Amino acid sequence: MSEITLTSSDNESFKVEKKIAERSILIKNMIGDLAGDDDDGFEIPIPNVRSTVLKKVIEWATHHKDTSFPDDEDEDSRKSAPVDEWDKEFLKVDQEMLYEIILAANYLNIRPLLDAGCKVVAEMIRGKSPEEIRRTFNIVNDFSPEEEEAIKRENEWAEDR
Amino acid sequence: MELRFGGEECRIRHIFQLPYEIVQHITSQLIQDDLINLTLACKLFYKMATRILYSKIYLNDSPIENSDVVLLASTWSWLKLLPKATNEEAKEVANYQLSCLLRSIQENPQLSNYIQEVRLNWDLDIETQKTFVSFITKYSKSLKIIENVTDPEFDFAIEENFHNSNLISLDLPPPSTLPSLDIDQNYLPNAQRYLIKRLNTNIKVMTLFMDPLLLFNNVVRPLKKLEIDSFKMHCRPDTYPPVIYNRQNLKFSKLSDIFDTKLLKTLTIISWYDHISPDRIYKFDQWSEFHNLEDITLIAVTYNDKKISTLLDNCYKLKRLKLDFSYPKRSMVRNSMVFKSIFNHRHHLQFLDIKLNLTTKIINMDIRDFGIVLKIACNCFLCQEIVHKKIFQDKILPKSEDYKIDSLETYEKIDFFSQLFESCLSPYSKAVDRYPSVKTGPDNIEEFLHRFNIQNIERSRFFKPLNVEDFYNLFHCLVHCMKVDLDPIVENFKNLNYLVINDISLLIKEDFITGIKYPIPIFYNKGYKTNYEVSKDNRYSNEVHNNGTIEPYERSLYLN
Repeated sequence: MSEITLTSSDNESFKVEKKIAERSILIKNMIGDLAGDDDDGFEIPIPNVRSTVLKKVIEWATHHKDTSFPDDEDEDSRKSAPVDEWDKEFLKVDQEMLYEIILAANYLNIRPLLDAGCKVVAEMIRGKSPEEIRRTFNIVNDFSPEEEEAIKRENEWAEDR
Repeated sequence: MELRFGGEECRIRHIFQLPYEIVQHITSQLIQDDLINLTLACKLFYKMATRILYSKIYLNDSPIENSDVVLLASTWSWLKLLPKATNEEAKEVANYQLSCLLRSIQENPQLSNYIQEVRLNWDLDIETQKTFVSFITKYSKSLKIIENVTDPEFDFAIEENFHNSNLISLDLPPPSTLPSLDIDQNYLPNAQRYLIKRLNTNIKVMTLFMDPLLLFNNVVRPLKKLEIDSFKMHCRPDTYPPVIYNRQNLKFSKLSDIFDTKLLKTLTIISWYDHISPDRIYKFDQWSEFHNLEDITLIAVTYNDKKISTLLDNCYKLKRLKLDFSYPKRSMVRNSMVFKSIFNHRHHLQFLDIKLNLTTKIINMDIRDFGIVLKIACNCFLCQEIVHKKIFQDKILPKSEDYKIDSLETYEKIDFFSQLFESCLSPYSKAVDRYPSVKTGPDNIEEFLHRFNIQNIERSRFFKPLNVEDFYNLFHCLVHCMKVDLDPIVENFKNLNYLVINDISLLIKEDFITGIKYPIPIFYNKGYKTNYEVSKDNRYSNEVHNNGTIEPYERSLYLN
């Protein structure tokens, strides 16, 4: 079996090289569990992911089909590792698309894509004031002035003195 | 929130439509300063940000240095301190911040429930830390590790409340701050009682100030092998009561009788011998049965080529290594057995922190001639046109008579780089990527330059004071000139991310276009361009060639 078919929620089908599809641990396990060696034309429905998003995910997996991602990294290294330059360009999409890619990566169990996506969202928070964060994500300030003061006092140890 | 997929109307338009654990994963990518801002954005973000902000707390007594080029120690939060004029002043403010932290968790005990790991500090107020330890041990269900427990008082605080927590760390503090002091007669009985209570197979992280063979033969004997993942030992020549040294009825004759050899991953040995018996050599090789060690740190140890190399040679997959020697020499040579052993781990090592005899020195003293000889082993524009001409020739040594020296003292005044190594400008970290880099003194670039300038104005009336830009250029030139020593490591250690040589921390980067690996300084990086052959934006070109005054430079072939 060299190729499999992935079908999106809106019923679009994509023929994908097995190696590429197996970037998704979910798909990899499915193939391992279900398919025989000569079972060509295997079709996997991806009911949670619409076609435009699935296409992006396949584009990512195709680019990274030979990348070896460290599988035993600790939390510190994963957190401090910068987003890969290609991924950064690839994830320059609107917020809606970004969230859906993250969600798809989570569902399909593609850890490196999930991490990259979450880091890009984290970048949108980095260096911003609370008000700027609210504007970026369209969030309403639900604190009373007293609550805000209490949090500032609580944070005192973690702010420059 | 229910999510349906496929239809246009169900698309995710708002961050809070993502599942909670994904938003939490996003916030877990943030560092302290950003988490602080996030706590004030809205209630949901407050909850997620505090969960991360309080998860790992490092109690520091002086400011933490950040890097412009990489996130360091990104999983920790620490007491935020601005630089102060003296260490005492810094400590006073640190103690105030510590009391603020204690106040926050006392007023809102939910916060302490987020705390998973804490690193205590020798130099901060013991009573406040004791109250802090007592509180979190009592209230935090998440608390796993309390590190750096250096005062027996802390163990009393833990002992009272530990049954409420899920602590996996066990530290036995030293009897007194320095090994030469007398030992309180209650120390051993207390230690014994504490160990009997706490020692079990749940303990994964252990720190001792006593040799484990002494302790576990004569103070408390574990019934089963200890399943330790990370072991730290302070080698100290404390003189305990004779009962400790009883050699009769020894149950355990080697470390593998006490610890499960398969499970130990991290070994740290900190030597205190140089205080009393500097030539005493620890038997590093007694750990060589622990083949699965991935992370070895030896601090201030007495160098022994054979014992240390035996330890390294017996690990299958060493990922992190830090070697720091206090005696008889600070740095190792490249034909040593230890250096060869390090090289055998070139395929796995991700972090390497060593002291090395550098091939070249920039400012040298010619003893026969009583003169200064400059050897700038890099031909790039920065090193030749700026550092050599504009700094050395125009400012430090403008007249030919400046190259003549009458005493060692004069040479030391000129030797910018030795003064730099001796200053407190390089922050200290146990491991630069994982632990906060602490400033060890109040020094900053301006003060360092002020000292250097004053000395040299006295030395020569032609000397022109250096400015901050000169400082950066000289530091970057130093890193360039280390290339001959860095090359073999950067080229051969394929998985290396961090390289610390003689306390200069370097990050190994990969050129996006050519795939070439090259080191850049983690601190004082401002405007740094490499002298490696990477794509144009990142480097200085080698347009200036050897003009005859500088020795031609060749790579030595010591690595075969």
